Amino acid sequence: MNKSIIVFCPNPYSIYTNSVCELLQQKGYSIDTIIVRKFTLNRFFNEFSRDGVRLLKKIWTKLFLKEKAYTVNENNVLAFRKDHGLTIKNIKAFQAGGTKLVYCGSLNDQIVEDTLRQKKEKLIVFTGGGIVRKNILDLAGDGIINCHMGILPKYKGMDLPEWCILEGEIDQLGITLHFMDTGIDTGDILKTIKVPIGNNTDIKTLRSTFEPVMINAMVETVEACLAGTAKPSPQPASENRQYFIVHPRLYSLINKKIQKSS
Amino acid sequence: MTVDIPADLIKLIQDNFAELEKSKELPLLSQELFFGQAIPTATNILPDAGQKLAPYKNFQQLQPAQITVLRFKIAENQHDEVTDNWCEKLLRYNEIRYSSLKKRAFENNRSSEEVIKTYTQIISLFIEYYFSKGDLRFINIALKLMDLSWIKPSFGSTKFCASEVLYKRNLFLIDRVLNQLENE
Repeated sequence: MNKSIIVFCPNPYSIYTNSVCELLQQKGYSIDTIIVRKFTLNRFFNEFSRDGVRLLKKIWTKLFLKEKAYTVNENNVLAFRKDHGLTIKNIKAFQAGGTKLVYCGSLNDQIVEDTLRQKKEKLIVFTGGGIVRKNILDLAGDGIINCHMGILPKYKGMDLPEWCILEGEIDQLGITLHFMDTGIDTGDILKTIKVPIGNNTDIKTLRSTFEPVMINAMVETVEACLAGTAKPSPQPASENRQYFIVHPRLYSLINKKIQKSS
Repeated sequence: MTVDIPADLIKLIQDNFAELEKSKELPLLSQELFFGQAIPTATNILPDAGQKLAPYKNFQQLQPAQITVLRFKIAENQHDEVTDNWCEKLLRYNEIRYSSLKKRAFENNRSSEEVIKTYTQIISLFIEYYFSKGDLRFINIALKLMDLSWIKPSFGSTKFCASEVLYKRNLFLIDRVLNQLENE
């Protein structure tokens, strides 16, 4: 029986989600269902209480500016999409190919549980949308693959590229593909890829070089999982350390360190 | 790290030292940080100096005296696994609960005075822990806490004299840390 690919998505315009799905389709895989979070006031207030003013900037960039938020850069996601002929900008376009869209308030809602129960054999691709709780993890079939913007096990939490720079570990910039579990960034590791600092001169352009790497890595990992060649390994024991959102005052230091290293 | 203290901060500390001594909850445990400076410290008036610290339970049961003991241990380079665990747990609590800190801080009918004094101590702890361990996550959370208006002591008030001194010291130290790191 073919496994169903189910994608968790933070919003219909997510460049990351659309790119991963379209690239998978190009390689001959069909996306069974995309479960996408709705825009609700409740979601806004929850995320605002976590991210503060940063959320407003995120909304502006991701939902209004979208591709216009990117500067011309051969290493960013726009260049990647152009090179790979990726054109879909809204997940609704996948419906034409038979993909079902399911809208939810939270990825842990009953409707998500019901959707997952319908598919016996499945692999879930997490492209954003918030914390996934045990009720969903228990229904995840082969698992939920996440692409984490830090090298695990050390770099758990948020703003990992920034923290890597602050810790003076430029050589530890990278991503980790892993299965999600009930812990924070603690699931079995599928793949680790380092991202060089290159000629980037600030954190914004450095972060933008992560996206194409993440898209490629996610697609390759999905392929490996479906082919049965993926080799997940439990994370080695490490210091119980977690990183959190960086205060704006530290960004000047981060950008100076990037300029010195690039 | 050698730190040159500005003359006005030294004067503020010296002018208010009697108040600082009286306020046993806010002694300045900063001799190590101010190499060669004539800054009086109050380590000898600590009621809990040398007290063994029990493992961290939860933030709701936190006592100001426990923060004092932690700061003393760090200032005297006596910190161990228990101290490190305390600091890590306090960091995580304040980071994860940041958006609801105010509500949690005033639980159990705590007064504004108590909350401000406790948090001034916590911020001081985080900054001093950074000087001890070089872990910038503690400067990060100190910066975030100092953004909170309800934590700032009322300047010029005798009730918050010690908190004001410590707050200004903390502001100075954070600025100094960031300037030094940027110029490295």
